[in-house]
Amino acid sequence: MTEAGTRHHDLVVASAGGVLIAFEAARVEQISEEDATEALDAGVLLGLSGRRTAGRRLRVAGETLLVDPEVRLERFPASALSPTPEFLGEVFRRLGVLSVVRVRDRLALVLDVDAIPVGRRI
Amino acid sequence: MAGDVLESSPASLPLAPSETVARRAVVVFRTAAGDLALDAALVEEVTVLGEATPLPFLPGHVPGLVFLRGRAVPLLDLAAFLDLAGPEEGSEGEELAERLVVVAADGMTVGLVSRRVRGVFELPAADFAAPDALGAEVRKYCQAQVSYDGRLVAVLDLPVLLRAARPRSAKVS
Repeated sequence: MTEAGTRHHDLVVASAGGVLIAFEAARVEQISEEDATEALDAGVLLGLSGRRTAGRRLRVAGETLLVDPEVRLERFPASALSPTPEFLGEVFRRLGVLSVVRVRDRLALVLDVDAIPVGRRI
Repeated sequence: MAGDVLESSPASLPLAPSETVARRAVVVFRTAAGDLALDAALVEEVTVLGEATPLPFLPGHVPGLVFLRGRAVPLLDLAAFLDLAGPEEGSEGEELAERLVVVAADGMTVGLVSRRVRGVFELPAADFAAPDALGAEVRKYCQAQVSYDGRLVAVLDLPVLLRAARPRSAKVS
C-alpha cells in the first residue's frame, strides 16, 4: 500500500455513515469542503449505511465522495493493519475492504479505491 | 488471569479420577440463550469483552468487531443468531456480554459473546449423546448434548455453526 519496503501506511481516515473508512493517501486526489457540486454519499455508495454523511468531499480514484467533516491523514505502522476476518470475507470483499486498522479505540475499514464502483452496486 | 474470566478456576475442575474412563474436555459458557458447550480444543482464549466497533451493514447476530492481539475479530451473538430468548436479565447477578470466547474453525476466528464462562470440564465421553432433547433450531448446529452439573447442555458443532452464521451480503439500512 505504500512504497515497497516501507513499514508504514499513510492513510486518509474519514467517517461515512457512522463507520470509519480509510484510503491509501497516495490515491486521494483532493480533500475539500462540501459545496453545491455533485458528490456521492460515501456511506450510501459503499453500502455502509443509509445515514447521510456531510461536510467534506474526498476525490478518490476519479469519484467525489461526501464524508463527515473530520478527515485526518494518519501514518500507521504496518503491524497496525489486520487482514479482513475470514468470517466476514464475503461481505468485505463485496464492499472492497482490504484490511482493518485500529484508530485509537475504534476500527477503520481500509477500502480499495478501485473497488468503489463495485460497492456502488450493493 | 484465569480467575478473572472463568467462573471455575482450573484447579477446582473435576478432572478425570481414572485413566480408564475416556473423557472429553469442553468449555461451558453462558449466553443469553442459556448454557452452551464447545470442544475445548476449538477455544483459543477467553477474555474480557473490550470496546467493540459496530458495523451497521452487518446482520444483528454480528454486533461488531474487536481488536485482539493485532487482529480484527468479529463478534457472534449466538442468542441472536439462534433467535432464542434468554433467561431474565441479571438472574445470576450477571452483566450482559462481559466475556468473549474466542474460537476458531474452518479458517474462521470469531468471538462468541458470553455472559460468563463456567469453566473447562472433562466429562465422561459416554455421557455425550445425540442432541435429541434440544430444540430444532439449536439441534441443527450441535454435535451432541451432555449433562453437566445437572443441566443438559448443547455441544456446538462449530464448523457448521460458523458456516451458517457467516454473513453473505451487506445489510443496507
